[in-house]
Amino acid sequence: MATPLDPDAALMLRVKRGDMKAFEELAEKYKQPIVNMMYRMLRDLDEAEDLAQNVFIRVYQSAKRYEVSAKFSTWIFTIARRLCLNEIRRRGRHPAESIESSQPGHEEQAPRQFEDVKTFSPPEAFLHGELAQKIEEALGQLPDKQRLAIVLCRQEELSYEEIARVLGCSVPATKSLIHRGRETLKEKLKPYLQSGAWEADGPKLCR
Amino acid sequence: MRDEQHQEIKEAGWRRALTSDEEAALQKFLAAHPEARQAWGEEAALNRLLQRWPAPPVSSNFTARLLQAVQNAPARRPWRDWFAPAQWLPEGRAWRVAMCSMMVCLGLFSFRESQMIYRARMARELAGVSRVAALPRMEWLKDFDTINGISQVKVADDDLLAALE
Repeated sequence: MATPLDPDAALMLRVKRGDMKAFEELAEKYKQPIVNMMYRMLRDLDEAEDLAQNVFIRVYQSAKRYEVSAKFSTWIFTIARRLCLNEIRRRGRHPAESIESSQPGHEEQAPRQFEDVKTFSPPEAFLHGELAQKIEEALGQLPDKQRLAIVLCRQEELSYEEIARVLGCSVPATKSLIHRGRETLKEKLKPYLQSGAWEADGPKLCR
Repeated sequence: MRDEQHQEIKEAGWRRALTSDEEAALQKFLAAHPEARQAWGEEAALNRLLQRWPAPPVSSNFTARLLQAVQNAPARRPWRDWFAPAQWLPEGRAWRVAMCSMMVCLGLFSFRESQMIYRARMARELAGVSRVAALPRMEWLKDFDTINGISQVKVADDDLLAALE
């Protein structure tokens, strides 16, 4: 029996045929998880968005050569991981460059202005502040691979096998990365985890 | 609960809320192992904290900007892709070390081969020189042309033969 085609891969095949609507659908679906991953890794929202845009541009440019060999999510997260780790390596040497300014011919053609309305999700209200900062700090102190493994672990569309494929290591190695990262987080956030004061601040909300 | 099942529930909890079956199995385990309660408490608290950790807000104009960027982006040139190291070099330090080692070995092998070819050519040239060196001494060769000329006379001297008879 033939395995059913991953719906996102089907969209990507439409992009391959030049369907911009399909590309827009993919961008709408994946923009949040990709920006989320970039933000957790770089801790700079503007840079995270620029890099996420780069990821989608790579996806679009690779559409002609796209073959369905794995789940689309695994593929896009692999591209995102490569760009993210490259950026982390490059960050110390060069300042971040906006995607818009990096496009040749950008000077001649003024970009259209799009209104930006950022909407903050409700839990941010009660996790915004000291605890959010502590989580960011604790996560920021983890080695890149552990941090990335923990971030990807929260992506529901990825199984452990797919996370392992994105990270380029085995499933046991991936689980070990997550375990070690979590142990460090538990150690650093112990007072908060034990007090549980933050849980009383608002309703439980799963992403 | 077996260790594997315990580990499976733990790993499931890293990613999502536990199902009722998993929760029941966990409670059963904790009833049998009260010493594990604190560790599980921290584990569950971290899970809840990460679940509630808000995702960063994405600009509402993200997709519009992206579509514009895609239209303005230059087409990729295949030769450029091929030469971009990140495109074809395998990822990971071990791979890179292996690739570098292979390049060094290839370089050493090529150098050794070129040295061997050079030495073989030198040996051939020396052999030629040694053949020249083995020739008779020069004073032996002063009448060489005359002697050589005598040996090349093929026609019999009939007058001389007749006189001798």
